[in-house]
Amino acid sequence: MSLKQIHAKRRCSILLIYIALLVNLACSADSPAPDSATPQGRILLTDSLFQAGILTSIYARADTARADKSWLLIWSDALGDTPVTGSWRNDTLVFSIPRNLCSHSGRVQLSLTSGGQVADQRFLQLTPAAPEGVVETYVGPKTITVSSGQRAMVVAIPKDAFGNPVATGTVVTFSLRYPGQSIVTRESLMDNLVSSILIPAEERKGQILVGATAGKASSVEEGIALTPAWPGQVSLEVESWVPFADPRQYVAVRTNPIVDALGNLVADGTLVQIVVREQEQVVGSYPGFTSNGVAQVHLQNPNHPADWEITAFANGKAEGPALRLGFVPYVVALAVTYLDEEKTLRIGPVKAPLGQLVTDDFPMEVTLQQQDQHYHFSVLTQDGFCSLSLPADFPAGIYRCSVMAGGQRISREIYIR
Amino acid sequence: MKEDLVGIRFSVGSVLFLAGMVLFFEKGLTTGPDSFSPLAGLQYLTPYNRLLAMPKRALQFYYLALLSGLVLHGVTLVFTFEGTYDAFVHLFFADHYAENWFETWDYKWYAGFTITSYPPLVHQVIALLSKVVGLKGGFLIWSFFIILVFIRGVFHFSRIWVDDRAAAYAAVLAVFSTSFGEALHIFGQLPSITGIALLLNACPELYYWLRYNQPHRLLTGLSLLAVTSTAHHVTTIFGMVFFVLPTLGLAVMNRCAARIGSEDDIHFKDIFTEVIRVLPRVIVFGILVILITVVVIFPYWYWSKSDPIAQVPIPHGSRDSYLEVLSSGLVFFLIPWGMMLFFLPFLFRELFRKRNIFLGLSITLAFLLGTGGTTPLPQMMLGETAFNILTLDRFTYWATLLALPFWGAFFFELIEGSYRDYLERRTGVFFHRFLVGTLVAGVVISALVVINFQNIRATQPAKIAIDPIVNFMARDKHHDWRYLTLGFGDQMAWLSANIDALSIDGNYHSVRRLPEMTSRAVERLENAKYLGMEGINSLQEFLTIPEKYRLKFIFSNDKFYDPLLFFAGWNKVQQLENNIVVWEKPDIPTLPSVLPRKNIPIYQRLMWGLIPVSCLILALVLNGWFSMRSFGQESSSRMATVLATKGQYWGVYTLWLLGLAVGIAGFSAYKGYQNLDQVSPQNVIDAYFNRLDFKDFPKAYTYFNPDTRPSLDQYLMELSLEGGILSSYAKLDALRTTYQKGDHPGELKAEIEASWLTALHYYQTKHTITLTQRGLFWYIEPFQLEKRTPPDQFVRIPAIDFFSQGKRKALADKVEKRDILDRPDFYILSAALVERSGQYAVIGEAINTDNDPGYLTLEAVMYNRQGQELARYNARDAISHMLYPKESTTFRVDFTALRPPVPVTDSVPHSFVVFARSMVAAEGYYKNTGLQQVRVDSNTQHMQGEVINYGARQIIVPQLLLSYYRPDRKLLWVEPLYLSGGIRPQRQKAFDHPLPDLGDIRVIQWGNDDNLRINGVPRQEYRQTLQIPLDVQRYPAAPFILKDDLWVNIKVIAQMAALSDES
Repeated sequence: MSLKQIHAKRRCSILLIYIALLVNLACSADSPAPDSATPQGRILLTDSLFQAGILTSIYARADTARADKSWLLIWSDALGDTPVTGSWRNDTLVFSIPRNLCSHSGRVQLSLTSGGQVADQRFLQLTPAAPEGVVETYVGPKTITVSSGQRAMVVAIPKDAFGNPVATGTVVTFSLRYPGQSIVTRESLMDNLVSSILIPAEERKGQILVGATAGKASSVEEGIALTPAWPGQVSLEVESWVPFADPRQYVAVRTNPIVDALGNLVADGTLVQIVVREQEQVVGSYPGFTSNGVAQVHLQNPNHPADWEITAFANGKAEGPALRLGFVPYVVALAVTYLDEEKTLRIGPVKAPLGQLVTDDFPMEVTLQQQDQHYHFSVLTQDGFCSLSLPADFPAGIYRCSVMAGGQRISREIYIR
Repeated sequence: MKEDLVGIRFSVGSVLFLAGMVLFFEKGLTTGPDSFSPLAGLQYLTPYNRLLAMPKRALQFYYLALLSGLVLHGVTLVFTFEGTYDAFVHLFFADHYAENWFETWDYKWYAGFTITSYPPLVHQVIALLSKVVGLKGGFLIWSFFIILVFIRGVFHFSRIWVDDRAAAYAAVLAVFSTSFGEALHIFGQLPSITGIALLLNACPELYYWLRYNQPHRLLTGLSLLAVTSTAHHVTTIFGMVFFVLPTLGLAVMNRCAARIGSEDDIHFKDIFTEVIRVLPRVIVFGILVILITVVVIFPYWYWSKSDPIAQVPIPHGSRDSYLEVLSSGLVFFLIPWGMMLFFLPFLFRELFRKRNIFLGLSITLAFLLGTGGTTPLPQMMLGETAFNILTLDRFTYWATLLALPFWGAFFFELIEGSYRDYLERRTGVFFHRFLVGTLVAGVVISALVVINFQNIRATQPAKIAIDPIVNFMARDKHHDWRYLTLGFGDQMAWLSANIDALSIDGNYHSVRRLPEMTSRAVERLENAKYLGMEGINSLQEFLTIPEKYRLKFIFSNDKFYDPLLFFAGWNKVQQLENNIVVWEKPDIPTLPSVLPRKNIPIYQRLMWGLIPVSCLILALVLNGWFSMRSFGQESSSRMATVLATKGQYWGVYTLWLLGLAVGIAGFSAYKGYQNLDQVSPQNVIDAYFNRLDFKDFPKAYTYFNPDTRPSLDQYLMELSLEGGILSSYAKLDALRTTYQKGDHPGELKAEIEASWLTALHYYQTKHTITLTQRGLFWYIEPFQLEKRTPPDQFVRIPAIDFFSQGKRKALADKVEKRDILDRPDFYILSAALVERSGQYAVIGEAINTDNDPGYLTLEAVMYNRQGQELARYNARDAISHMLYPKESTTFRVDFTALRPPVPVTDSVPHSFVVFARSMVAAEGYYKNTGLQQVRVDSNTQHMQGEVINYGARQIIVPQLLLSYYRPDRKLLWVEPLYLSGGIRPQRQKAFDHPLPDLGDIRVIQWGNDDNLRINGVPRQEYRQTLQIPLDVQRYPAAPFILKDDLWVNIKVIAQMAALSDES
């Protein structure tokens, strides 16, 4: 290749590069230059206080040179951030606010943005509408004791049509009806989204009915049980009894209707302790449980003549007045025979106060005593008699035989071979 | 269930397919003289050389074995597998894979466990099959397949030890093997059977590899060993010692014999030379086996290394002395060996021939180890740890399977071999036929007995329909809590497989990790009563602190546990249609939505999910492929190296047979006579109490003296009046009897001390019984039962009832806020942390100050001086959980074990906190009781008194809550006392209780407003708000004065009889 040719080729190359640069510049001149300037726009709002559900669209004046879709309105409330796209109407951008956004009360921040940059920001306060529908209520505790330090709290939350708790300062009217009293009303103002009242315990047991209203909104009925206080003194009366020392029989006793210090009948199932004393010693203890304020207990008769002192009390309280019962011997006649051949003690006839034979299976206690040796047997009667067969290897000798039954005791000596 | 029926039908239908599959692998099995040269082997083949002329019969026998195995076991397994010990456990595992193949954590048992703790193959195969035929169908299909594989394995394994005819006999006898039958029909150990079936098939492959230098046999053998490991790794590990080594040893011996020309000329140096020659190959083989076993179930080894089993050994009958515990001897020795016991001399004669010496050592070792604790040898050989972990019955199982080839040879000789000739020559044809008939009958009958063992002696509770339980747990979000079953046996695993709810118990004890479980030798809570007091104590611990485990529901199939559940504060909710009683514990928080789990790496989960089934497929393909190519070759060369057997002692064997038969018959007759119910005073007493224990009252009645006993009706009527914990809820544990001379000749007076196990504690009762001898037999003189006549025929008692509505609207969702009741107000009057004889407890007294009846949960936490928690327990039965308004109860919380949640610096208790939680309770609670005549007997220093039931219902278990006080009304101690008998309406029951020695009680800390909390609120809050009368002189107000310095207050808590039980 000659030098001339080489130079011509170089020139051609430079020309081509130059042409390429020109074409490139020409093409890039049509595309917009990177926009580092803040977008120009303004939210058109005359007020910042609106009622929830009313604000359905927001207008904005914005730079029309920018593409429609680059403009966004960011709606930021307690539930989060939601972008809303707008549309041009003449020279104004219109943003339609979805109903689920504008119906929540509270503070809202509006941000007009384009290309990720904020053009304008405004704050709105959406206030709740008037109370409507059902007032939400919470009650606790649901049972309080009469005339105690316990108090129940009723919390009411009236809401508008969109479910927003009504505005602070809204009057909520609570209606109360204590048992046996007329309806009273108390007002409470909404504060921190709730209104509440404290309900003290009064003296009469029963159900406190509670209702709450605010504007057109009403609650469903709530109830608080006023329960009786600690039982007061308990006295007893005999319902039925047999005054004999027959341990098969029962004494049915019942309490007076038990009330608390304020005269309220105690709750069903309240425990009452019934105690039997003999010569100031506790010999029996029976729990009783009230039904309509009265507890009933069956006490088993003693197996010996005794004077009983029966008292009743509620746990923690002093005993009431004593009920006194005296039991006389059930067995009035008793014979004991020893059958030497059969090595058997035969007891009977065993007779009761009316001259009748004692009933079957009446318990008899037999003791055979020889110096320091005691042999104790329990036998039951059958048709007024009972037998005790002694073991074949029972030690021989003279024994003091004692038979005790129904408060009667006889003794005699027997010789056992 | 519908699924089961479909599955079972499908299973039966697939039998033919399986049979075809097994026979496919026998395609290369040739018949007739073409397969080998009879002349070439004649000099070595005695005494089985007659088989050479009839190889067709061997095949016929083999096919007969396959068919009869399938028919006998296949048909019966459909009826027996649900009654086996382990089948449901394997179905539970299979269900896990069916639900989530790659999941390695299962939440359903023990608060979660790793599923890689058991080789997965069988479970995964069942899981795959379950997609078509259900879980039970899958189990059956795989069982049918494995039965065939097992018989095939026995046949081929036998062929390397004995000739084809004897091997065919062995295959037939394998069908009737009692050890195989026991493993399949009683134990339900499908993975273990799968393992052994595959191992038996692997051994011939390895033999031919080493003996004839056939490398492809190594491949097939290893593939089978790999599958064995994925099914049951223990079989591979021990199988290497007991099966594979003797097989390789035989190959070495035969190589020697082939080289030298005769078995008799083999000497130790020849064997040594041969061993050196094959050693490199064997070492490579060993390394390969180890590698394969590690790789195919690597996640298992990873688990066992990272989470080693550290728990108290669970007792197992196979470790008993079989002479002392005859039942264990029966199950773990006599049944597996069965009729094989009659050929032991022949077996050991054959085993200790030079050729079989390796197998001889193997069987002898397995035989010895299988004798369990009968001799000290197994413990000495295995060492203390291994002895206590391994179940030794597997050694007997393996020994019997290893002996099968010779069992076949024995029968072959007896039926058509030289033993027949001997017998016919010495005793005549008739005796020979009689002997054959007897032995064959014995083999068949013993197999049938084993298969039907469940019908002879129940191994499981009666089948439980689980649908009502499934429905119960599915509704009202009941699966938000854990549940526990009682008295379900192994059916609890089937229930677990069918419900999503979680159980705190489980049926695979190796994976338990809760310290409460691993610290006791209690396999399952579910069958606690069979494990004595240790089982009961373990169950009690779980029932006492159920909130720790979110345990809310108990399904009880055994009323034995009723008293424990009742007095521990559980409420009987309902009886389901399947008669299972549901118990519920109030106030238990639900399970958290996220439960802790242990993750394993992804690669391990993939290995676990993919390798085992892949191994199975690979093994099937490899073995199928090579079996078509090589079988004929092997047969012809194999026979030439079978060594001679000679020098049989037929006379000795016959004497052993007859001697053993006579010995067994004589021993049975002797034991039978000894065990006759009335042959001795002790027998009649044992029999009587046993009959009472098992509620067989008419039979118990027959033990009474016929001359003096009342009519049966009268006896039954009187017996029905005796309710109570002993007659209704107890299990007789032991009897101790002393005798005195009676009043008359032929009479004895027996003083009996009976020990009864109840769910609450041991009871000791004393009985005096007069016994009379009439002829050979002894009888019991009848005794008077309770007889008291109350005065009134008709009694009226007012009662109170409560009803807690729960949801007032029928909503499937959670309870509405308006339906939630307040927690009733309670107050803790007093409490103290005390120490008595090294045991710590919190005692105290609480009162229901509310106007609603309340359910009280009382929890106490004990701390050391640094304030670190040492233990946390609830009051169990030393409390009245249900309290009516204004009712009080004392309580005692026992810290039965120190269980600090985190390591502590010292374990000395220093302080405590009591948390009382209450709920409104609506359960009826029987209160018509009273106490009277409570006093101390000055002679015995026993407290005596009477409990009166003046109400209209029968008390089945009366509990007295005894609260001891000092005269200054400081609570000293609280203890529950259970009366052994029930109390009928309008009657009373006396009690007698030794006064406890309370001198060693030391108070560590008294309770105060800071450490006594009620429903999360400090005590003083209640005191300030409610006007609770707190005069200390009123708690207790009217105690019984036992001594000058000891008062007692007694509360009666009554468990009522079910209305249907009341007389």
